[in-house]
Amino acid sequence: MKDEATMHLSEEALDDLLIGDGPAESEAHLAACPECRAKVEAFQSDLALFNKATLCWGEVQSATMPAPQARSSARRLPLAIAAWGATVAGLLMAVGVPVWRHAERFPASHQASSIAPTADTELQIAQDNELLKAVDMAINQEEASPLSEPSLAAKPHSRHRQRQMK
Amino acid sequence: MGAYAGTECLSAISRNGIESHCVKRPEAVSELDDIDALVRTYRARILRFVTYSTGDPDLAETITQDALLKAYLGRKSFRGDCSVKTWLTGIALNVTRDHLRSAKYKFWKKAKATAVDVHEMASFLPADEATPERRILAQEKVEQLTQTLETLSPNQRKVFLMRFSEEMSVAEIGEMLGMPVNTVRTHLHRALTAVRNKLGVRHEG
Repeated sequence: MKDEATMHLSEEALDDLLIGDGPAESEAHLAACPECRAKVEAFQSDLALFNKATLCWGEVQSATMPAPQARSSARRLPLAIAAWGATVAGLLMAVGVPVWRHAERFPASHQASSIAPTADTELQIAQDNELLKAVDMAINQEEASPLSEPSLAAKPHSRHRQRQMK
Repeated sequence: MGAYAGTECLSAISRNGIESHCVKRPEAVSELDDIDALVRTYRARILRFVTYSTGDPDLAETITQDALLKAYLGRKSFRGDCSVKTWLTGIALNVTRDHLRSAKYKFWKKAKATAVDVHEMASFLPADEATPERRILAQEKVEQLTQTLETLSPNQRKVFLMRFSEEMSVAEIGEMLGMPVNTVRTHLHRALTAVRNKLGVRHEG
């Protein structure tokens, strides 16, 4: 505990006292010994300066920091709701207005008539059959192939003909 | 040597934040209901602690804000059997731990190395010293202590600040850091030896 040579508290004992773990014996010595007390007070004085300076720094830094989000978000809640409302309204307008305009330009009755199938009459069926027959005829008409051209088939190439004769 | 030596509340601060259950809430802690008062009273102190714990003033601002917000939102879990300061320090420690573990932090730490500006810190010493010479000496002491703290291990630095700046007891520190009391003492002794040697107030042999 005590330094045998000086009869003062050892550095370890002083550390214990500063940490707050010093035994009553060391406390008693400290109370009676100005030299040991001076050592403890020297450290405490430096520590006090450090704590004062750093807290002052913290206060200056803290003053420049914004408020934590909880407060600002709580106050901004109505604004946030309004912003969401505006967004939803905008979306509805963006989708709704073109649909409404389209509906206005092409009324439902018109749209229905253009889409609804017309009734099949005897005349309509006959006309359709005529049309189909005409289409069939046009398709079935054989188009003259370049190979089946009569002039080419009747007159084969002279050299080819010679080879055939041999 | 805080006025609130009880450690019961510390167990209420879980590793991830703050405990959800509470026993009772004394009237004395109504300051927690006013976030403006909370910020006004404790932000500078929390900012200082986190700045020295992390060594990164920019990150410390984020952590301080997060910790205060977390405390405010979880204020109902504060049981009032320790000081608000101690409770907030515990929350700041947990938020710091979360940040330091995050991959995002590790990435930015590689890219950007911010450090506590020793001279800047010392210059904030209030102008209550009698003479300019004394003021310069005082600034030197603050610089020396700041520089020494940077040479300590993170645990040594943390326990030193908790004991000598936040005035927490060894038992409170151990409870808050999840560390045996003897380990806290060992860290404190090593930190104190380094600091006192640097300040010239410790004489070996």
